[in-house]
Amino acid sequence: MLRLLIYYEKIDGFLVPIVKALFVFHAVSFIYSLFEHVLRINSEMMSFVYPGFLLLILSLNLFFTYYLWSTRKN
Amino acid sequence: MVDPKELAILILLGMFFVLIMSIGIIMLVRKNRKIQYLGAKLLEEELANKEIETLGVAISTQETERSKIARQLHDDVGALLSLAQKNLSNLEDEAVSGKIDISSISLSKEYVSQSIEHLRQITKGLIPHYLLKFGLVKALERMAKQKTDSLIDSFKFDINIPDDLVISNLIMTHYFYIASELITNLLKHSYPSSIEMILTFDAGYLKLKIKHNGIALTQRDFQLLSSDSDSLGLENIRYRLNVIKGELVLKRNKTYGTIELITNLDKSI
Repeated sequence: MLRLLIYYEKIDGFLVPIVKALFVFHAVSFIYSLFEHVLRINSEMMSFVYPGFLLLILSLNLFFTYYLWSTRKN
Repeated sequence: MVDPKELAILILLGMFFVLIMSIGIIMLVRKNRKIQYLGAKLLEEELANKEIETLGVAISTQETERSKIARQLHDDVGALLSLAQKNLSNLEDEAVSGKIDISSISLSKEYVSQSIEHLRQITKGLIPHYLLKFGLVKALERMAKQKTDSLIDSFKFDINIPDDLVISNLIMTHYFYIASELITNLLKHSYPSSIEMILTFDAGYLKLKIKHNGIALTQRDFQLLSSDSDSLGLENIRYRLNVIKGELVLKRNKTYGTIELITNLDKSI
């Protein structure tokens, strides 16, 4: 992802915002996945962390929906 | 044992930190991209400006040359021809009245021949007559001797080319002017006390080696100088080298430096 961000000229201009969003998502979900095995067996912790992660997934989906919709509209 | 609540907050904070970090990286990449774009644009603009400057220098040189020729034609040839015309008018009047002064005819003749002489001098300055009449070897020798005379202690010119070697006028002219510019630059910037020139022809290659004991440049120095400098002389050398498909090889030794002007007579033009 980082390589794609740095060598942006190798990809289509339309894909650049998608690559950026995926880069952010992968970075955050990496931290989440590191502790996922702990979180899955501890509902108290899960109730704290998962809403944050869910918010990230929702934001990502909202962004994709808006981006694809607005591009198509233009 | 860490409190699960604290650990959860730590994980959340870690996730938030990574989120900020990744957004920061994206912004950094974006800024870098912008810098690259601006740098490329600046370079392009600089190159365009340099080209315009070079063109300006070339045009102003042309204008100066034109005005010089115009001035010479007006002041020398024009004035003499006007006098000759005036004299001829007087002669016409005298012819009508039947009295012709022979000295007026001689004077007119003198004015016309002086005009011809002036014209010849002007055209001599424009075309390398000596080069075309006597050939490259003689012209190089004469040019180098004229330029180095009284400026350096010793000058030597060796020739090792076949007598029947035929060089086209175009190559000869460009070759001569490159050599002339090199000698001028050498005397101007290198302060040599001795110059040795060797003109050789081998396997289709015409090579002029200028060996001197002044401040010498290496090939890299020359390339840097010619890419940075906007001097018309270097620009002319580059242009002429390109025309004759020639190359310049510069070397620096402990006690002397050499400049080699090489062109392949089979390939050039």
